[in-house]
Amino acid sequence: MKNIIVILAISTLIFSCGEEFLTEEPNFFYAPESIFKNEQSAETVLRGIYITPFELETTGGVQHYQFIDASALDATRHQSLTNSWSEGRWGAGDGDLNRMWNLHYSTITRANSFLEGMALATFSEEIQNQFIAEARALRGNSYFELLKSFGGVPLVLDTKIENTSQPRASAEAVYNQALEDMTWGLNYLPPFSEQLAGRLSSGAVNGLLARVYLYDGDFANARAHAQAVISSGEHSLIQDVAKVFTADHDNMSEWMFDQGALGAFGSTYQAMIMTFPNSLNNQPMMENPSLLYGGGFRIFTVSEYLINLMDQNLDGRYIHWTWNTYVNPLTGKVTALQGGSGTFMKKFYDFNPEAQGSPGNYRLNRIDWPYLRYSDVLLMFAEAENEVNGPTVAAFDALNEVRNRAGLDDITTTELPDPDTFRKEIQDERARELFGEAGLRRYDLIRWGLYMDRVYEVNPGNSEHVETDMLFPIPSGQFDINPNLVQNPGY
Amino acid sequence: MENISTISNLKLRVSYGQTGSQAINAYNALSQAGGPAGWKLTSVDGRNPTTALYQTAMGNQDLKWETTTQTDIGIDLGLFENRLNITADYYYKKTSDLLFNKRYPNIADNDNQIIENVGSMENEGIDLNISAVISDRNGFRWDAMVNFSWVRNEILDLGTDANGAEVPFLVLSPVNERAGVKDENSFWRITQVGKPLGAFYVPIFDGIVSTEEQRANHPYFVSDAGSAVYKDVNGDGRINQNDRVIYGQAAPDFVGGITNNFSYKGIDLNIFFDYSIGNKVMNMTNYVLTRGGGQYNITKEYYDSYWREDVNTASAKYPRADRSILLSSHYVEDGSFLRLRNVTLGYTLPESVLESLNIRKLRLYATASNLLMITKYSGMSPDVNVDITNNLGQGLDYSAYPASRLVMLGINITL
Repeated sequence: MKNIIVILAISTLIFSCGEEFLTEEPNFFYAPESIFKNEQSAETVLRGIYITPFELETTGGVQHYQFIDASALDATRHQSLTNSWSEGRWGAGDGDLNRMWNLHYSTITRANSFLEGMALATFSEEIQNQFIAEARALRGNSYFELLKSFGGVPLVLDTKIENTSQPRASAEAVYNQALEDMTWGLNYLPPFSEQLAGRLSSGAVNGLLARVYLYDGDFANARAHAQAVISSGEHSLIQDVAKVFTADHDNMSEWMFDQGALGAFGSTYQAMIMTFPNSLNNQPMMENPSLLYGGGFRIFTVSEYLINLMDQNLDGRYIHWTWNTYVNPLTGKVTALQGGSGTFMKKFYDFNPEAQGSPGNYRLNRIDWPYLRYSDVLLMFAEAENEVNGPTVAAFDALNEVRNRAGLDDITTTELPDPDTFRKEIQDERARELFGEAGLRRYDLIRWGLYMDRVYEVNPGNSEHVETDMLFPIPSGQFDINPNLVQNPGY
Repeated sequence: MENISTISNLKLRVSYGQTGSQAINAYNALSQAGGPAGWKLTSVDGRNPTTALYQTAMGNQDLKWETTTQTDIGIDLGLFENRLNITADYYYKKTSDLLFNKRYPNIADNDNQIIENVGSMENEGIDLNISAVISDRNGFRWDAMVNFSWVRNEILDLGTDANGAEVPFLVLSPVNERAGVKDENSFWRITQVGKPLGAFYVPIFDGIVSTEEQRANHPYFVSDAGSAVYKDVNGDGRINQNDRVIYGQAAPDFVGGITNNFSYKGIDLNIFFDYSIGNKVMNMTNYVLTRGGGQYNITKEYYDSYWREDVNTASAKYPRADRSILLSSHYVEDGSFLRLRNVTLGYTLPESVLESLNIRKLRLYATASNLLMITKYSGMSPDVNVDITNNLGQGLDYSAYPASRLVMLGINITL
């Protein structure tokens, strides 16, 4: 694709060196007056906020979510021989933490620039409000991700250069900002349609808000937003569990928000390679996509704890979302993968010679990176409903919708007679359904207060986790450029 | 003076001037917007490629040339009918409006960098050049030239930050977008007021805790035996970015060269040595190849001698395989060298022989470059500069291709 460089002269822009600021104008953005005048060019800049994950280095900016998920141990595991995230061995110098920090601040910076530029927009107010709602929701969500990982972080809300080296705001202030940003334009966002092509719908933001409220233990609001998604009728589960993670289903309404993959270098290929069973490395090169990257890396596995939570005969998520047999797509040869070096996640495996064309493209994963799926919303609803009203019919319905799709029968009040047993079931069900996605497991365990117990239960005697691990360290390089930062305790 | 017979030439030179450095790329003053390049995708959903725009460069309207003001005092001295010539120069340069890619926090696009005129620095130095005709008798001529340079560099100020406070130092990474080293470890250069430009800024390597006992007794918490440990400089019981110290610099104390020309009858011989003393090199090639961790290639020496449980624990030369090993003083090496840069041996045939061939001049010669290097540096060559576009790129050996050894044979014919 051709690199489009647009260079625009600016007369109003005054930048830097301490003397004079035209504080009314964006400090370091390009020709706002020309670019925001019409809807099409403003929309181009809006899309620029969405694509931050793909601007970050070779692994794709989404890779770090896999590390985060694995830091919880009971769903997926990180098996590096050295600085294993599953043994609590991450440090302030970890490049993945720095990528995470930069990914979210890129989103925030681009949103800030966009929001300032939109003050100059002259097109339809309805569209303007939709655009602003999207930009603010993305900014809010990035602040929420930063909050979960690091605690309070600098709250940068404009493009003034003197505001960049702020000290960390309180966790509460960051949380409130996330909430305010995401709530602001809920009414301006369109309903879900495949034509939205990855942009935020009202349903997606409602779902993300349920996630934010749940994290704070605000079950009433979490329930309300999850309920809004369900009653909109816009979303449904893909009925065939085997097809949920395939390139031609990831635009459907179950995939409420995701990071698009074009099947190009820099998309989600890493996720495939890192979860591809290395015992398959003896398959011929052209029939094993991972070999085009030097073989399965055997870095992320599905935890034994989770495998034992799944019905291995009936649960379609065990059967289709983890590796238990490998059917060579070209020769039909079947390799059994039971036992041995661990079970691997199959959610991001995409090998389709017909669609991908030449062997050189086999490695190019076309499956989007899931950030919010409808099954997550159903489980969030069930959880919040149980906390507010107890295990009601509505709570069971939501839970059973997820179970049924996986090929499991209804679960009833016989098995889960009270809120406590229902809560426990939801906690396990979220691992079965959402393992390896968007770093969810870590934050689930933390908000349930289960994190410390679980990591020691799952990894007895071999875990180096301490209480302070519930926050990641601020990446060490950030201290060099912002002397006002203070490190989290324990690092 | 006229009466001093030994002096055949004496000149005093004084000069003063200002020059501008235009090391500013086109459009650097402007903010720029761009789309994702090359293989990166431009659509949000990955299916329907559309254009996306975002800021690719943050402009700086106040950008101007670096200005260097230089004063030079020199003396040219010729003695004994110019058989001995000495040229000595002292200079003082002050460079203001230094161009730096200054990093700002929390504007992660563009690696947080904005090009700015920041502060000033001074350089002073001495250049000395001595050439002599040592012998010119009986057809044997021997000329020798020795030159020598000394330079001192100091940052005078680094301007103010966005809030108007004096900036005491900048920590900068000279390596951009290089796989494997672009993590936090790569910020290992400091530019500090009162110190030379781009000094190395690293934690001090303090050996390996080889046994479980050593691990347990180590002053700060070490998770595994076999780990590399570092000096806890500020004594807070942990190793982090606050334990980095200034550890040498890439700029040498002295550089120079020695040339000898001999000729006797038709034979001529030229031998040229150059040297550099006191420069340090960051051996990042070694760092990347001796970390283990399964992600990069390793050297055979590393494979044979890294720390393993129950295998060569006490004698391990390298710590346990650990991707998180820090880029420390361990990789900063003395890069002093003496190099035989060039040797040329030639033979010009006497005219008497050539006359019959109708050739005016014929010279046969053999020349060899980079024949010999005497250095303690463990890498391929200490004379490296991976990132020559960046004045902070000096002294970095990261898969640098060394100057090749070259031998040439030649004939010069003048008809």
